[in-house]
Amino acid sequence: MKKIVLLCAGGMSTSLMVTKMKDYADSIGFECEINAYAVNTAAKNAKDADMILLGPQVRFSMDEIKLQCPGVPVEAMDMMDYGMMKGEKVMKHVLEVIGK
Amino acid sequence: MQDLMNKLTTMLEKHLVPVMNKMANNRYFGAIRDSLIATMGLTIIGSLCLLIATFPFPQSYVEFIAANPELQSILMIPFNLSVSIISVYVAFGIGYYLSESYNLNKLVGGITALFTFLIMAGGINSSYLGAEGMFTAIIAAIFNVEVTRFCVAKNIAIKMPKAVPANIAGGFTALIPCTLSTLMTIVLIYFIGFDVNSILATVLTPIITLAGDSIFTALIYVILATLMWFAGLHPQVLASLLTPAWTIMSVANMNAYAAGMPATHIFVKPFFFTFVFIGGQCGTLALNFIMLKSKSKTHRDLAKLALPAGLFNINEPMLFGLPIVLNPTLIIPALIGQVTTVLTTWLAFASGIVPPMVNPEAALWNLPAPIAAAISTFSWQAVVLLFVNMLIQGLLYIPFYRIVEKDMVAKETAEIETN
Repeated sequence: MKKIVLLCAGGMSTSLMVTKMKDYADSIGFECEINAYAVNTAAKNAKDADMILLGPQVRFSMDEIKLQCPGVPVEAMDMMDYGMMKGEKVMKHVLEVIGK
Repeated sequence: MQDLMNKLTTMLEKHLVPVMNKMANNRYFGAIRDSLIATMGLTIIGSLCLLIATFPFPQSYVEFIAANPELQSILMIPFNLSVSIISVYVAFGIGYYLSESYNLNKLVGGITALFTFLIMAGGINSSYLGAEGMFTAIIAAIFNVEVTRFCVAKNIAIKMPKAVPANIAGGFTALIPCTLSTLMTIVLIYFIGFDVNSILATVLTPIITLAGDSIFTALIYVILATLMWFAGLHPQVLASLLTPAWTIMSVANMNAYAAGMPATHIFVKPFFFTFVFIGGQCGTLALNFIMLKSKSKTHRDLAKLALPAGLFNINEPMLFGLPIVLNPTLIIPALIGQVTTVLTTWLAFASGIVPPMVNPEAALWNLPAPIAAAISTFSWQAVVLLFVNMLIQGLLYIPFYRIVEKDMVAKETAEIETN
């Protein structure tokens, strides 16, 4: 099963996005585990992820996260997609990156 | 305008944030902050007990508590063993996290740091185990870990044969450094008579609380935080720099209140997170309510999406969805609203119109603001202040929001026509 990790300052606002992404994943029958964590727990929670998505507000941590989780694709979410909580769009992009 | 925005964003992202991150990631600062965060559960339990034991209304409840002093003293046990001796936990935490950052044995580091602190503070009945002893705890823990690190680096340790299990060998490794730091502390404090506690409590604590408990710090903090949001960057780093001062002041207020003395610190954490960041930073809750009746469908949908989280002060949908981020129109009322409500809140507390925040730790940042306002001050005046602040923020947003709304409605109409 694919594992997707979302990171923001406290893992709170990204958890809204997690719900929206899960809704879409369920609707197309894609089985995956999506979780939100605080960005400073990346080394513990995101090392074995298939993909890491950063909330745009913590995008400056990108380099540090890449160092902590080598080999995992890391991307910052688009600000507008994030604000409008477009789970479907973000999930589609994730599927493009990690493959079905 | 676009150019200026880009410049500001680049300036913040390339220059300010790395410097701030470097400060926040400083080894000592990080250990102090993490250990304060680790004690949060305890201070919250303590503050809840204080809340129950001293809740000022209704009158029948006050009389019931007054008639049952044993019950009240039982309720205060968790408070006395958490908030009143907070530095004990902080000393352990700093020893633990600092040792971890040096790759030393962290449990041994925590225990020996606590031991060094108790010696420095003058024993388990010392009056320096609470907020007054916070700096003693910090100094004791850092001193202890640094002595250990020195001994390890210079290979000064009792060496166990390889066959001895690592756990046991770890305990022995700590023996010499711990003896050294104990000896130095005892000589310094008990033989030479250097009163480290009162020096730290009378010199360092006032400096930090003065710096933290100031209207200038408050204004700089909210202005920088708002500008960082404008650039789309989470200003958590600013809050983490202020966390030590907030904790020391909160604990001091709670102890003063429990002892029947006036609580004097104004700029504790809920000052910002309850009274200024209403609905989240940039104070977006009032605007969120206004947008429920927007002429733009996009904005109405966004408002509905954002409101449930906004009530708990999480507002990324508003900040990134409306957006306020990189929006030169909306950043103006956001900034003016934040600065104005810092001033009104300061005036309300400084003049005594609103009773002081005697129980700030109970006001968690993600509690709905009216509840947090009431339980941090035990007063209805604070709730009134909160709604006044919300009204100010809402009124400031309205004219600027109308501009954004008009643009969005035009866009929506254009889209319908092309379809």
